[in-house]
Amino acid sequence: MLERIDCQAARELMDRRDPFSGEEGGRLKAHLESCPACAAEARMEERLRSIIVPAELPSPSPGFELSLKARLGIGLEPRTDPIARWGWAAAILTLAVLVLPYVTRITEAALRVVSDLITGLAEVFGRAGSNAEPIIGQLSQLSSPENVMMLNLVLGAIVLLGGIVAVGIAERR
Amino acid sequence: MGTFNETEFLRDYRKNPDRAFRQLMDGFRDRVHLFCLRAAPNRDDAEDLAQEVFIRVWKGLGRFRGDSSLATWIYRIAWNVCASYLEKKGRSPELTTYMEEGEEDTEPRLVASSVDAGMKQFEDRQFLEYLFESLPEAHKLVLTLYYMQELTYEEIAAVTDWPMGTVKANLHRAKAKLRTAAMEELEPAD
Ligand SMILES: [Zn+2]
Repeated sequence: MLERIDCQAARELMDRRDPFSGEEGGRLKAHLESCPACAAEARMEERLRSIIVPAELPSPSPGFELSLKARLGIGLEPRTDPIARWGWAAAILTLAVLVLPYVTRITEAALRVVSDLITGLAEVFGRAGSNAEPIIGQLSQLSSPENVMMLNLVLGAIVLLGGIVAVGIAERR
Repeated sequence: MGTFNETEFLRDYRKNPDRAFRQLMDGFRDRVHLFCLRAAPNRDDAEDLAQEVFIRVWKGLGRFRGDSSLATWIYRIAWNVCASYLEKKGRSPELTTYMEEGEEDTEPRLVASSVDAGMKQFEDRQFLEYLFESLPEAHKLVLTLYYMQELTYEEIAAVTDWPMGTVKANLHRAKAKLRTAAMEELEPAD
């Protein structure tokens, strides 16, 4: 048999988060069955609750999350799955293949300029009376096809190494 | 909301942002949106506010120290975002100083007898919605926090930066106004 409560106690119980839970909830129910005034109050409370916080909350428009994600940059970071990894490698290799000829042509030209400059200078100093002929001969060979090829290989190796390191870094993130 | 796991969420936030974002949306999207609708009944404005709230939440998570529950912290941000919005709309006094206003200033708006006679033809629900909508925004925001049943009085006080007594008094007053007006109108004494 539940202990009876008065209207004030009932109103206080109604103010709780979960008014009908536990033994006190049982007392409240019993009171509401016998007190029309408190029962009306409880009905009103329930109606208010259902209006202020409806059971089915209104959702924002369908694009809400997508736009929020874009603004926060979530899901835009490179993932570490195999497809992304190979994608990275392919992109870097393609870049290397496209860029390498340009790079080597430039270095070939640069080598020629450097060798011409040094040869010119050596010739000037050579005329001043020293025996610099062998050095001049070596320097004029600086832009030879062998040297250019060597540089090609070195640059290619550097680019590839850079690519591998980039993939490694991308994977770690 | 019930399934939101705060510890898991804070761990995922760094390691698996996609999953953390999903958790955040499942746990708070609709509630924060509802909260923003109380400050901005226009849906577009409310969505903009909710976006602003979540952007601040996400960017501030690194600084979240767990001094309060995550929910309290999120609603505090939501409260601040809504307060600045209302301030821009020239509505801030009701959010910050209405406690100091005389009770009479806002009372008449909610007395049923001041409502148009035409209102009586409204369905109960529409009538109650009308009453609720006529409340000052601060009342609407606090009542929403209260009826969401997520925060305690202490936590609502932390969200609003009002003393506990003020929170309780305001909630009580807002509820009493709504109930009295509604009961006079909808459940005449028999
Ligand atoms: Zn009673």
